Amino acid sequence: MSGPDVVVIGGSAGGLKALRAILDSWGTFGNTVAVAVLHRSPQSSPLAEVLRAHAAMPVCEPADSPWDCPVGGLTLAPGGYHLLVGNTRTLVPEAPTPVTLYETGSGVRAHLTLDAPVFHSRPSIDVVFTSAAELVNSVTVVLLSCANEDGARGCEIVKAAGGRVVLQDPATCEVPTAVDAAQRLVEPDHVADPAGIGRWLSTMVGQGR
Amino acid sequence: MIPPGGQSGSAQSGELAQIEAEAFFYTVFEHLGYDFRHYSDASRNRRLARFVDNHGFSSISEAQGRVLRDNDLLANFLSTMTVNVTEMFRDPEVFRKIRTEVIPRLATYPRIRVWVAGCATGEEAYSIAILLAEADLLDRATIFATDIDTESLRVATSAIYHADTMAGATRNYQASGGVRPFSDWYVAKYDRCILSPELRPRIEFFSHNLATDSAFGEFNLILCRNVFIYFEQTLQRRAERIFWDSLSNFGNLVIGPREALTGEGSTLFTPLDRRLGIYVKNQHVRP
Repeated sequence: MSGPDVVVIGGSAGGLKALRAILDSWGTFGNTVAVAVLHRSPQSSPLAEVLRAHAAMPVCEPADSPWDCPVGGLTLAPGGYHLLVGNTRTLVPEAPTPVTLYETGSGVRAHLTLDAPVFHSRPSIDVVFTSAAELVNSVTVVLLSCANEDGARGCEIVKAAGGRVVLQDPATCEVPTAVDAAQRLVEPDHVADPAGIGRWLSTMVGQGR
Repeated sequence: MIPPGGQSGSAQSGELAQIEAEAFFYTVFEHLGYDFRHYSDASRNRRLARFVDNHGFSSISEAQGRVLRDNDLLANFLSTMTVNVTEMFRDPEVFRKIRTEVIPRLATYPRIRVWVAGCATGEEAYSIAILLAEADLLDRATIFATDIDTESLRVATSAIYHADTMAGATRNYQASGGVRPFSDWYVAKYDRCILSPELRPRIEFFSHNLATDSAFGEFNLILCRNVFIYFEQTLQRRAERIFWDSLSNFGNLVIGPREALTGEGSTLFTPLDRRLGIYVKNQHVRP
């Protein structure tokens, strides 16, 4: 019972361009929940629309929190909030103990918070990666071009929890600061340009049923 | 997490932390009466983990024993669990709509009562006070602003904020349709700003907990923004019933732009602007 595979993608400067290239070569997601966190301004921007043009899969921003992330779709973090991922839970009517009132499932939910910015960013990549490390699902995080070190520590935490770390080839990054920092902390499972990351994901995740 | 390769990784520590977190929140509820059991787990547990880290506790279990016995530590725990880092006139479109559609209706009442539920450090309560003042309604209005965190309420009561938050507040204020120089509403001194003394006397800040307390009055307008994002449905339904009970006929409820009512809540309130989270009490139902 490990549910859909989970892919969490983070980036900032140059990250949007890389994300579009990943989506172009990824194709359909299969049994995968994809989540993307890009540094962006709190004002609403047409990011979801821009990505919809590139994605073979549904792209949505949470309209609510907690929000059920669709399997086979991409959930995008809105500006001005942190986004965390967690597993679905169900209130147990006749809980066997008064301590545990909820049963954890294997679906994936997004949670928005107004916790303080991390690396001057809300949403922050470290925040979403760190939350992904707690999922019962098989998790892959992808760190793209990013102008500060946000995301590097998150890669380390995901790796320590048994997840996979994919990095954009620094030579193809507009700004490789985060990827360079991540490489100092973890041995990545894969390094490639964005199109290569998309192809890798299409064979490595979402195949199970 | 179950690793792709199938080996067991550090899944156990994550699972242990989860069990400790459930035990922690159960005990805090049983012994202290603060009920976080129906808060959504991911954000709640991140805040708990930060509290544990900040104080250098080796585990959630160690933190539990201390929080139960140390009132200062409990106060700090409640702060960490609840504080939103926000700004005045956040989501200016919402305040523009309140200014143009809600305030004119409030103007028809001899006494105006507003409840800001989950007011944190008070930015939203003061934003509403400014809207009322600019409509010449503040002298007959009372704003009740509540939160469970006494530390946040202390900041709110002081009406003093960091000067570097005022640039964002000014931008938001202008985007919300404010036409005065925003600097009319505060005095800057060193790195702090104190809000206009006209505002503070019209706001009552006090402690109220949506998870355990009930309705305490009747209001023409209730704002509860970016609170439901932390709640599971059970707790949100409880809060929705409190708000329905607390609203006068034609009263408005304003929730956050990334929040939605529960199925039951959708029968209690009718959308005025769903995208902005502005609703009207449906007086033809009983929860």
